[in-house]
Amino acid sequence: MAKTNKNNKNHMEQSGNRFLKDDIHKKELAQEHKEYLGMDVPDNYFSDSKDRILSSLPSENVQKHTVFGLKPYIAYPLAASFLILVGIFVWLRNDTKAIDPTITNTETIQSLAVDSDDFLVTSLLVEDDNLDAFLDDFIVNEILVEAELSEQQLENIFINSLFVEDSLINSYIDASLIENIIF
Amino acid sequence: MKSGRRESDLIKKLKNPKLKNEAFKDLLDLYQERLYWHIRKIVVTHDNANDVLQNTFIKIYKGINNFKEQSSLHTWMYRIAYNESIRFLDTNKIKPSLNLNDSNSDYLNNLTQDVYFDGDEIQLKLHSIISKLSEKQQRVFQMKYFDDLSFREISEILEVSDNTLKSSYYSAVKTIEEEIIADTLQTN
Repeated sequence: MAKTNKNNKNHMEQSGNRFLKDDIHKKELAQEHKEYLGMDVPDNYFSDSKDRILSSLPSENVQKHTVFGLKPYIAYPLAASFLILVGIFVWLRNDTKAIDPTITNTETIQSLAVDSDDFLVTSLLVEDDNLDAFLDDFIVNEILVEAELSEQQLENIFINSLFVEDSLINSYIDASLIENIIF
Repeated sequence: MKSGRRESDLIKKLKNPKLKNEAFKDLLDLYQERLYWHIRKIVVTHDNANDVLQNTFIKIYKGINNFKEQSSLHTWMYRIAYNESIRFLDTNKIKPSLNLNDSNSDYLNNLTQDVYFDGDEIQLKLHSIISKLSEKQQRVFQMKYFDDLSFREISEILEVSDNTLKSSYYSAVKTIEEEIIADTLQTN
């Protein structure tokens, strides 16, 4: 009996049909295990077992369609990196804008300072780093140039006085000097 | 239709979400019993085999999409069943060794207490002889002799070379023959 079973099985193997064996082989399996090893199974075990296994199968999850077909473990870091880059870009732009007004204000102050006669007030608005440059500009623009201009005007007064009649010389000099001093 | 083609078709259906459940029923019809007996010889009792069989098919169902077809479907399923059986023994701290002379043997206790074991003296003797083999020899002998797997398939399941398996198998057969002859002479 045993020899016959093994011969049958060998024949099946030789036929190349190893993948799907028919019910006859299943009966052989059960018979062999009972006959040689004394192992048995409950009646209708395999049909009941099939139902149990099918009912215990997990429900198939529907695969989620992701943007560009990327899997979450790739898509999330990419999205995070993109957001960080955008954040850095925006922050840098805002930072640049924040610096520009300072520079503009400083330039405005400096230009105002040059035009302004109120040296002390203007100097309060100048930053410490720019103070030396501010002083140099002030000395050149305000003191030396003004002094030069004043000297030039005095010379003009003197030259013009040569052409003024003697009777009018006193009033001319007074008016020119006063005008020169005031303006 | 050739078996390779049928296997290929079945794999395609199993990987298709719409056809998966129907194909899985076919797979159960074809393989449930074979895998059950493969598992039963390792974990010994029917109840244990029933649990492991269920876990095995759940793993097959979940993992079929990852099956790369580098081996046959049937070898792949046997490997899952084998690994699940070994994991079950490890988890439950059941010794795979079968030694009927050892009264503390988990295998012996489990075997004789199983209501679905009704072996007579001769069958117990065969269990006893097989138990004297090394674990590897036991597995190879059972897979080759009872499960009717080829050496190539067993080598893929156990991840051992063909030559090592052949050596283990023929050594096991020789030991069993010698034991049967010795027992017969002793009885006579």
